[in-house]
Amino acid sequence: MVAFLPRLRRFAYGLSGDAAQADDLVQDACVRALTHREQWQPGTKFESWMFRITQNLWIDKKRSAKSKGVHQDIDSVAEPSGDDGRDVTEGRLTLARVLKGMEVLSDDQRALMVLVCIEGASYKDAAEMLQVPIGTVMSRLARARQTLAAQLVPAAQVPPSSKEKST
Amino acid sequence: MSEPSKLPTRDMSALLMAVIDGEADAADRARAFAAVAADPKLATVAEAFRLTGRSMGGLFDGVLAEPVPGQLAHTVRTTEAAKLAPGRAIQQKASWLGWLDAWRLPAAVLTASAIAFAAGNMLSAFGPQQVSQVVASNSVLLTDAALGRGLSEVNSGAEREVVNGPVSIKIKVVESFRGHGGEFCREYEAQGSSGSRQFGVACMGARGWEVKAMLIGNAKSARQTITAGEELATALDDIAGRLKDGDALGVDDERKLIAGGWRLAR
Repeated sequence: MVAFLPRLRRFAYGLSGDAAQADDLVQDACVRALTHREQWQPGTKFESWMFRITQNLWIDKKRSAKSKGVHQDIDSVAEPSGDDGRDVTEGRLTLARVLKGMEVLSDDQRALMVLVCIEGASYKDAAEMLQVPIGTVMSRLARARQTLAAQLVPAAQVPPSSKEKST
Repeated sequence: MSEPSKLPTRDMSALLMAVIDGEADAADRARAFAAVAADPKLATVAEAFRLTGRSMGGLFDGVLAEPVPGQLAHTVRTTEAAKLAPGRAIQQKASWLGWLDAWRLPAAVLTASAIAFAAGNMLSAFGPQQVSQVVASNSVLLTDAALGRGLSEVNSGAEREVVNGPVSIKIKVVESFRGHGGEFCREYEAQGSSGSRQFGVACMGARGWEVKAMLIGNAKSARQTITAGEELATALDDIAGRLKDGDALGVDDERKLIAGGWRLAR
C-alpha cells in the first residue's frame, strides 16, 4: 500500500488544497481501507476504491468541520503569489492560483476536477468511482471547469452552458 | 442523416469539453465544431476547457516526487501488518490474496536466469549503479556460502558479520517462520563490503537454502534506494506474508533449529 501513497497524496492534496490535511486524509483512508478490505471486490479497480474512500472521508470531514464551525487559518490558504490574469492567459498557471480558484467549487465538482484533470481519469472511470451516470459527470465537470476558468481569468466572460435545442 | 452521439449528454458545452479532452468520437467532434461555427460564444467556452484541462494535472506532480512522510508510511505499514496478521490472513485468504495482487506494483519480476544470476552471485555482484529491484519467482538455490551460513546460524533480531574466504557480509535475520509446505523460512537483510544491500526471504529445501524473493539495492544511491526501497520493501513484506503459515517461530524453536541445521526438526 505504501507504493500507492504518492498518488493518493496527490489526490488528497487536490481535494483539500493543504499538505497536512492531505496526509491526514490519506492516513485515515488507508486505515479504513485496511479495516474494511473485505469490501473491495477482486476484479474491480483498487485505485478507484481507494479514491472513493478518500473522497468520502474528505466530504465527511468537511461536513463535520462546518457543523463545528471550524475556522481555517488564513495562513494555511494558498496565496495566488501575486500573479495576475495576464500570466494565465499567457499559459502560465500556478499551483497556488489553481488551488485558490478551486475553493469556489462545490465538493462534488472539486472531486471530479481532481479525478479527471489531475489524476487523468476518463469520464467513464470517474463515473464509476463516484457512482454517478457519465452524463452527470460531463455536465458537472463542464460547469466546474467554466467556474474555475472564470476564477483564473476574471476578465474573461465565460458564457453559461448552452443546451442543444433538440435531442 | 448524422450518427447518434455515443456520449450521453445534450449539453453542448459538455460535448465541447469532451472534444478537447479527447473523449469524443468523430461524430461528436463534427457536432461540436458545427455548434462552435454557429455560436461564436462557444469558442470562449472551449478556451475555458483548454485552460483547465488535464495538462493542469502537471502542476500537482511535485507531490508525486516528494518523499512520503516517514510517519505516514510507518502508520500505513504497521496498520497493514496488523490487519493482515497470519491469523486474519488465513480466515480471509481468498479476499486478501487478490487484494495483494492488485498492489503488486512496480516490483520488477525478473526471469529465472536473472534470479539464478542474482542468487548465485549475491551481494558482491552489484555495483553502485545497481537500481533496486525485487526478484520474486520460483525458488532458486542459494549458492552464496557466506549468506547461507548466516541464514543457518544467526538468531532473529541479531546482526552478525559472516566471513567466508574473501567474502564478508553483515546479515541480520528479521524472523523465522514455517511455509505452507512445512518448510522453514527466514526473512533477512544483508549488506556486502561494497555497500550493496539485499533484503530477502529464503526457505530451507532439500538441497539447502532456496531464495524465494529478494530485493537488491545500494546504500550509495541513497535517495533512489530509499524511495524505491519503501515500495519494494512493502512488496517483499507481502511476499513473506504469503509464504507464511502461522506465526513467526519463537526463540526456543529457532534455537533448536539452528542447532539441528534447520532440516532435522522438520
